[in-house]
Amino acid sequence: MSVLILADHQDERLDEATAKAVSAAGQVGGDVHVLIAGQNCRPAAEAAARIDGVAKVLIADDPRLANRLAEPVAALMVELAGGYDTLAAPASTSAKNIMPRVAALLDVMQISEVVGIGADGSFQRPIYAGNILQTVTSADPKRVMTIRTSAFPAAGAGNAAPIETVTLTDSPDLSGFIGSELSASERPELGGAKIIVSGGRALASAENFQTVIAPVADALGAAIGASRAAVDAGYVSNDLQVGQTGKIVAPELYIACGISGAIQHLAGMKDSRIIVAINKDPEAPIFQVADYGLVADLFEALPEFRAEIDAKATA
Amino acid sequence: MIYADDGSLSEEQRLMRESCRSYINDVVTPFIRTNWQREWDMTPGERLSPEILQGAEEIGVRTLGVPEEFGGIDLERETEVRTFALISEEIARGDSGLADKLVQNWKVSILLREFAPKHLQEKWFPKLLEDPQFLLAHCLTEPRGASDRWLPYNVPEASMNTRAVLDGDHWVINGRKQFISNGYDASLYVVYANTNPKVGMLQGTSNFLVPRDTPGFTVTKCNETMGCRFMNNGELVFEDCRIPADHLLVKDAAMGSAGQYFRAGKIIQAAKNLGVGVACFERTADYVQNYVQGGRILIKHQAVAIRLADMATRIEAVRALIERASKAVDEAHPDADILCNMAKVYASEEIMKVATHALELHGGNGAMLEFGIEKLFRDAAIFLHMDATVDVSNMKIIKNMFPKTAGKYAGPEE
Amino acid sequence: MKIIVAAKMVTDPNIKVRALSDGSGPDLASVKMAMNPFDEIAVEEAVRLKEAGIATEVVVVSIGPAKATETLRTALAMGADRGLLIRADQPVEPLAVAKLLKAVVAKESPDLVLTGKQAIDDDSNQTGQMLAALLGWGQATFASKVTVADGALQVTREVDGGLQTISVRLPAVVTADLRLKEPRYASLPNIMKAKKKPITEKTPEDYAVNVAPRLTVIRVEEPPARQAGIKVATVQELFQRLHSEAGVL
Repeated sequence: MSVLILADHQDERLDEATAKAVSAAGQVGGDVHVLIAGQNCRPAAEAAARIDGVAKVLIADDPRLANRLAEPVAALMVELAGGYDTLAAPASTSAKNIMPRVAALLDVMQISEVVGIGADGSFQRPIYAGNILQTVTSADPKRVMTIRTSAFPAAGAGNAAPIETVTLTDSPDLSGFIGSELSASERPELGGAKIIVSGGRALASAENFQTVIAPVADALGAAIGASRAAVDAGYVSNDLQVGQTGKIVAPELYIACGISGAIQHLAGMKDSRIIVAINKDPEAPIFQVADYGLVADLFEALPEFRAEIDAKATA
Repeated sequence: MIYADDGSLSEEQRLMRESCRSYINDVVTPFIRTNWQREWDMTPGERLSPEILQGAEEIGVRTLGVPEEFGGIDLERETEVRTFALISEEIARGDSGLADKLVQNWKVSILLREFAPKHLQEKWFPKLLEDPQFLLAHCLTEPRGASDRWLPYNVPEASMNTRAVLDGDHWVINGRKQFISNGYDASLYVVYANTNPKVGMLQGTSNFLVPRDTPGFTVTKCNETMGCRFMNNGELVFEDCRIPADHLLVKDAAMGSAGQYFRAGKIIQAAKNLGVGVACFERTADYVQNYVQGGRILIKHQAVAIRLADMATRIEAVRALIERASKAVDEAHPDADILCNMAKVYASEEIMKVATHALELHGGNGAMLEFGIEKLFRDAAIFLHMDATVDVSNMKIIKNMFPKTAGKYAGPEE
Repeated sequence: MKIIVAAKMVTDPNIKVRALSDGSGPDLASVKMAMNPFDEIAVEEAVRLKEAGIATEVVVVSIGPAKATETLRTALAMGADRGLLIRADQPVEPLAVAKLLKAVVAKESPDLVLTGKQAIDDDSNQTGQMLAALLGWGQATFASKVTVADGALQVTREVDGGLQTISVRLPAVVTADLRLKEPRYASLPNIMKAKKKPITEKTPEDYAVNVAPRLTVIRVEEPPARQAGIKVATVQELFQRLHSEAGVL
């Protein structure tokens, strides 16, 4: 039994998602190997070698693997697959692009976005936008899966695993990299934001979103979200709506301000790691799902909160 | 529930309903919610933005009733009225004034399709198709009579005051029309006028096509209504208005042939009303499941839940009657006249109750203009009265059920 | 250029699907169905390419129950030319879907296959990539912009942290992300016209593809409800706890 993890990395650095995938792989059992595929990717390989629980790091440093286009990386994975029972990767857009290609080439049905691993060899994954958890077992000779990293802690970083070079022999030349354009410093998108500051009808106007919510969001590098009531009232645009009919989000921290906690809203954010509710109505249902509740007038609390952030930043 | 599909709709009907629903959800509802003040703009042309009708154009909903040979759409004739009902319900769920604007086009297009001579169809259908802002109006009501004309008063004294007289190769129209849907905005009007003062209305009324720019025809004002305000209801005056003789649609017997328009019209009217009811229900169901009173969401208070059940039941009953009546009209069943009047009057009274519940369950918010619930209440109220009052509609039902007794002029027993 | 679009019928995205109380599957009784929103975007892209004179024919394929003809009909009303339903009454996994589509590609010889990046029911996000693998074609997933030039596509992809632009040689598989195109409404006249466009019906057996699932669903359940946490007294306490206790600030 052994697991090969396709790392999420940017050549010169390793994304934290990889360490989370390693801890998930630890639950599968067997040796865990990490593959760093890229160009000039030694630094990422060295970082991977430090992750606790990694038995070996494989590095494939090859111009054909630059930017991790799906076709060559999948070809490499397939070449290496013979030695492994399980091929896994953190469910980043990169792995979501590559892993199903690997699975199909191996004639394996992939298990996507695993959030739980059972001792009996079963896997749990969300379906229907997270409204349902499905537990499955695979009849395939190998398992190919992507790991939803928010469901697993990151493995520690005290290791010194050996790094071994592997080579890509046959690479299909089907696509080429032209360029990339990574988000500038403006607010992150709701979908990928680590922190979301969300406002409800209690904000009472579009201006208040700008003067009360935005300063806190910007100080935290957070995205701005809104309840449907706030969107319907025209305070913010539709694309900021969090909820069943809007965006489904699961940030590290979700700060709900003046949001009562409609069922539809909860459906869109209940998987957030930490939920904070600020509401002046102590009976608001949002408090029933909040890790930290503050009964307060948001117009007073949020400026104070901003001051706390600033105080820490300058401390 | 409320949006149940009993499997009797065709695939096309379901898809059409979906398209309308998406257009309403994506375009109309957000506009109405964000621009609630515009309903009260005292410049009628400024109320509904042109993009709304442009959007209606994208789903092709302005020109139903126009035959395919003129670029329109051929619905299945044997289920045409049912289709109209489905679509008008969906549009009215977004805004009943917008639904009024559009359905007026369908109803008048059917009249043109059925009764206009070919050369008029060839002249006007293309103009209607070309311009997304092109609306049609149907002008019956006068200061001295409207739906009551259909009571058993078919005597010369009760005929229309608007008169049309043939003068050479032109008809000359004089008179007034009021409370005309689309009256303020339309580009083309179907106008009913008396052409034989010696006989009853049914034998002496003709109808004419009157283009808006005809000399002697004036739109005098836009009526400020309590509901359906995005449809600009107008008042019209005809002063020696000369219409080419070939713009006559039906001579003398126009009221009888207009049944084509009225039967579909009653169903459409009831269906629009239903759409307002569904909007009331959806908004209220959402509200009572989200808003907290006394520590729990409203619906967990039983008195609230009971009212919601009553709303749902009334809506389903209205829907059932509309479906039955529209089928009767589509199949030209002998009871079609009775059923379509029943659907119209029942929908108006039941949805009024539904809207009252909606208002009540929203508490103080229900009375707030920016909340949009009082708008549904006002829109529902208009239906009691639009396209015949409740009492006149009931009289028509009875007259049709008992033609020999209730159908006779209400004078002394013979 | 000939395009195949794969479109799945799924539950209406506005509906919250619940698990059956016996845990055997999602409760889909009387749930409204609709075309997968990402597939709708793929159909729109294909129809725009046709309107731009780049594509000559758009064939839409759906794998699902008889009712999935509605999804095909919607695509036809949006502007696709003809439909193919591969009738399967049980759910078909992405790998088997990809095999069926591969067989369809062998018959139809398209230059491009478009589909949504994922279906919103099983949220797998696999079919397009798997099809490209089985065909030995290049792939461009999560596309937000597609341009066609000289036997290749230039595709802008939505990736973590921003956008990536790649070129892909044709034939290729492209999967649509949310911002690729705003799907049009199927207009009422076009719905009536779509009635006259052909839909062919086949079965997986016609393509000799085994659609037996590889994964066994042991159970489904709704995620546990969140428990209420604690109330804090002041903004300062809130900030402190988020910083030191929760470690999120």
